[in-house]
Amino acid sequence: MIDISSRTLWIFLAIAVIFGAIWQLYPIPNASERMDKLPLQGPEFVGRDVPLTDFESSFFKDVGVVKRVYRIDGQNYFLTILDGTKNRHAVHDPYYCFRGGGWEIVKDTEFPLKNGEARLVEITQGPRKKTALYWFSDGKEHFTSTWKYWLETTLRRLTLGKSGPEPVLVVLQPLDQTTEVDWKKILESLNPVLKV
Amino acid sequence: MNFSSKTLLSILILAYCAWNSRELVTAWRKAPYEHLSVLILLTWCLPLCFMWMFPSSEDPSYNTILLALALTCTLLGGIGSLNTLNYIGLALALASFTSYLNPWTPIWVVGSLSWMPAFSWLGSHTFPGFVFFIRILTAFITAFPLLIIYKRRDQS
Repeated sequence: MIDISSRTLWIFLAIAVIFGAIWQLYPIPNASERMDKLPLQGPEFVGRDVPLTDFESSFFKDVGVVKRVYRIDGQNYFLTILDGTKNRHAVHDPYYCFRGGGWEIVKDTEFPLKNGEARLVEITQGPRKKTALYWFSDGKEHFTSTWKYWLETTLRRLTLGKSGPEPVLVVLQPLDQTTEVDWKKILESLNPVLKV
Repeated sequence: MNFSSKTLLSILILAYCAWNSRELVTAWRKAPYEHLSVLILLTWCLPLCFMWMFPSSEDPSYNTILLALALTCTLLGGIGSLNTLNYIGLALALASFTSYLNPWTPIWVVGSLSWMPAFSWLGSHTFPGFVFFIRILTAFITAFPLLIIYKRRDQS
């Protein structure tokens, strides 16, 4: 049987500890520049930042978070944008979060965007019903594949940020318990969110 | 290198892999799908527990290939920020302590996926109502035969 010498393993362990620490401490650019450009007010919308709860502050530690309510066409919409540059593990597949939170996904369709696609879901929990639109964005392309998100972000960390910008997760949902939303019109009004 | 130095090396590699897998504890505490997942890990560890409780009279020989693979996975998992790779590294480090390799050992190692959050992510898409049951069943059916193999070897 092939055997690796203890000396080799000692050297490998030392390299792994030192090299791994240096690599992880190297600061890679985050998506804050894109997120900061998202305006609070525009011709067809007005928004306000919502402070994180204690649980959210703990859960999203080191995560860049935009948590806002936008008023569009007389309705309030909740916008969450998550930048996992410093803590990618807190950015989950929305499916996993919805189901983990006890919501059942009753409808799941693709929603085309100019630079890709979003996912439109309808979720229920007992008598409660909600809808949400979500996508990942790297500032140029919009996609919904969690595999692609993991691949891009892993590659980015392996290359110290050289492989491209950090994808962020964008989730938009009405504050009311409604599933009747003209998403095309909402995104036309809140157009800057598609540039994040 | 003498026996104790080899043991120290194996334990340090295991500790390195365990440290890089510390997010697992956070997942157990906070993620709804991960509540009670520590039971799945303990189930998978049954053969290891048996070996530690009833050590063989022969000198333990740690599997150096598994230790090297464990280090590789954990290093890549750390720099790529991919927890699943870290957890695979931890599983390989734990598996390296099974000095008696047999044809069932690789199946048991693959069964380690059952205690990783990636499995419950997959389950949330494919079998959402049965995630815990499928995971613990997978851990059990991959670990129990190895436990029996060790028990029979110990008795022979």
